[in-house]
Amino acid sequence: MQELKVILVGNPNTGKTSLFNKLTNSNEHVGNWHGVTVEEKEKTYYHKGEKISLVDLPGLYSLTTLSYEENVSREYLFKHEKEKIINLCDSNNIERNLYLTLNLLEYGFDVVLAINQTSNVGNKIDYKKLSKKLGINVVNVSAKSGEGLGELNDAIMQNKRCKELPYLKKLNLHIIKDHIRGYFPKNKLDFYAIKCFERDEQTISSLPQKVLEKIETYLPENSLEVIARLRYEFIDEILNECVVKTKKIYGKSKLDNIFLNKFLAFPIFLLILTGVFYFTFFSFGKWISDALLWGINNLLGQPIKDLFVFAFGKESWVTSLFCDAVLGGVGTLFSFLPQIVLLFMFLSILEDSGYLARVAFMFEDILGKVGLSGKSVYTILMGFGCSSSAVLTARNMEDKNAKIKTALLTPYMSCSAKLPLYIVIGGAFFGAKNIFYILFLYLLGVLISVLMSYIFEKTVLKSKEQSFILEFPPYRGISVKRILNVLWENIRLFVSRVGILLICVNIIIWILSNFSFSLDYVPSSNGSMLQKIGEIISPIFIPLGFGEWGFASALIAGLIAKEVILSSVIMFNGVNHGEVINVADSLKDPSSNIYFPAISNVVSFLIFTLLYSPCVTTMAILRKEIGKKWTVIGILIQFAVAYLLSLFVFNVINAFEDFGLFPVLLILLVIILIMFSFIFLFERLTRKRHCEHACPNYEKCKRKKS
Amino acid sequence: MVNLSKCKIGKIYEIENISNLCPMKIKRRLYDLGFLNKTKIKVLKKSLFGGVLLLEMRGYILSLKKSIAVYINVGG
Repeated sequence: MQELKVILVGNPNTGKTSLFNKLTNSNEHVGNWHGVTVEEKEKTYYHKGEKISLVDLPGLYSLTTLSYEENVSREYLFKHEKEKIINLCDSNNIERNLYLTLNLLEYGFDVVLAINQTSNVGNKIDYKKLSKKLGINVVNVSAKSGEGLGELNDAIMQNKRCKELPYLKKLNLHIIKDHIRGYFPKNKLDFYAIKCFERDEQTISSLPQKVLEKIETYLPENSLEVIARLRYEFIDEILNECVVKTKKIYGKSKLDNIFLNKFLAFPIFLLILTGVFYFTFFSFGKWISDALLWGINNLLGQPIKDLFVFAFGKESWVTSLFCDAVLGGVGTLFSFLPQIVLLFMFLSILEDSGYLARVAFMFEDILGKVGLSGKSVYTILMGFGCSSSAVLTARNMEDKNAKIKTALLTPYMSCSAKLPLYIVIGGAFFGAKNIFYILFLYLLGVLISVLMSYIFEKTVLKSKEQSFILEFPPYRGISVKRILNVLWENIRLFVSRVGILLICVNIIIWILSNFSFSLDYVPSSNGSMLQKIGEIISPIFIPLGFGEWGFASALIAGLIAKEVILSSVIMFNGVNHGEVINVADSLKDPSSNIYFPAISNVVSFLIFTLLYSPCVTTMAILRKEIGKKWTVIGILIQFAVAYLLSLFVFNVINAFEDFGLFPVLLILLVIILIMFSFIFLFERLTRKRHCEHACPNYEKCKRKKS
Repeated sequence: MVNLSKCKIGKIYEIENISNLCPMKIKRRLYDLGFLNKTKIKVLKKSLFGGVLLLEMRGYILSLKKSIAVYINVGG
């Protein structure tokens, strides 16, 4: 049976992915934010016995592109010019959305226009008239409720093409067409003639100089504006005839007077963030987590453990395998399910509500200074979830260096897999004060990444200024259904990850840490394979305060997945299996394999785990996104940063304890002063000599370029 | 004639042109977004350090860096 290919195209944040999910019955990530979809996704579904293969593309403003994700869409469209297109518009932002529609029709695509009814109040559109005006099928849909999908599918099956666009007659395209004939496909001459009007780089670069000069004589000086104006005039005509517009401005809200208030904006942001942290890690989230851990240990673990002891005996390796690798390692990780799922839920609420765009607006000033953009806020937030998926958001960036920089900074963000480690190890030593330590680690991650980005910007990865044209989505309420959906999806992901991948990894690590190279069973890891391997590497960690083989082995194992660091710690300490039942107690017990003699060792270890090289999944994605060279450099830098910072913190805390607070603070102050004067000197010596055109004070500036 | 970055907040202006100093890629995008001669535009807000502007035009709002806003000339 023949398959019908349909491509979903539209402005950013018009609900393409929601529609995609509804049509194909899938669960792709959506958000109230532009650029959530960064690569094409394809899935098939059936309508009236016909197999339809639907492709979801990143959002586009027009067919000339600025960022990477836009280029993905454009290239894809040009490669599939014969296919059917669903162009999705937001009914309340129709004026700007139709601009892309005209772009698509100019190219000659076979378009069905779907208008997404995002709210009941808003623009009233006469669909029949609009269809007649454009010469294509126009369907009213709701991507949220799924209304109108049947009509949309029917419209896909029909064949109704746009014959001509009246405004194009006002351009003398035929003269241009005569000149570029032979350089482009015959049936696409109209389109490329228009692109000449737009002075599109990709089009112009495929023409010889001689032809270009000829064309230039026919183009009006402001040809860019001429063509854009014609399109907007035609859109105005359409709107006058087919749409009753509301006075409401798309995206404008009174809430912004509070959320973007000069004095309140940052305090509110911090309040929201602290609230999320508190709720997730220390109140509600912790209660469920503790209950779950109790349940796993007492209701599930204990009876099975007793059974194993009864069947195999206390010293048997089978009992140890179950108690340490499965119950101790994986069971403990499972108990963090509520907290991690809650974190993801809050991240998605921030995204869905439209608040994220406001945060990007707030931070643009600061992030712009370090060569990033307000858009990076999204990357940072995603990094708190999972580094590997956060790396992909770097595609939002407009030039290559900014993309590499953004991708490289994501692993510094504290991903959700590291969280259980902070809670268990931090909790054992800091008790209730652990909330501050965890907050500190998260902020440290962000701070280091911003700092690294600044250093990259000033040295090897100078990026062009990001243009930062960002649209403001309207605030949206979040439905209970959507929250349940996010919760369920994350529970499913977490359970399958911990239940399949991490169980396997844990069993392998258990085998390595409980058998010697001659395959003898060695309980409590004496002479095990992992101990021997760990001992080779562990000396390099002695200056950081964790030079035992257990730490080194756990850190290496953590490269597979960061959760494994904690499960390894639990396994190496034989919690559940040996006499010590409690993880926290085992960490303070000098006879344990993983033992922290003092607070300085704990802080040093936590900082190191926060910052050191990312897991293999992230490495693989980094490699795909930014190439081998930068991935290797990034990983090495990360290791170095983690090492140096841990070294520094470990020694400073020790010095505090040895010499007291005052002298150490004094020395630190002196060091900081020296550093700043160096930076100041460096800045002075390398400062730009000329004032640039873009500078607002250019006219008056004394350092004008001569 | 003043450039958009120097506009008063809350006042409606009319776009006159986009400066020739503006890089082609950005200029094209600005036209695509509808920054055309005679279009009415209003600055709603500026960020804390003034690096970003929040604009209202053509029935929607969007934000723009000051470094781009300087290319857009408007008249009261």
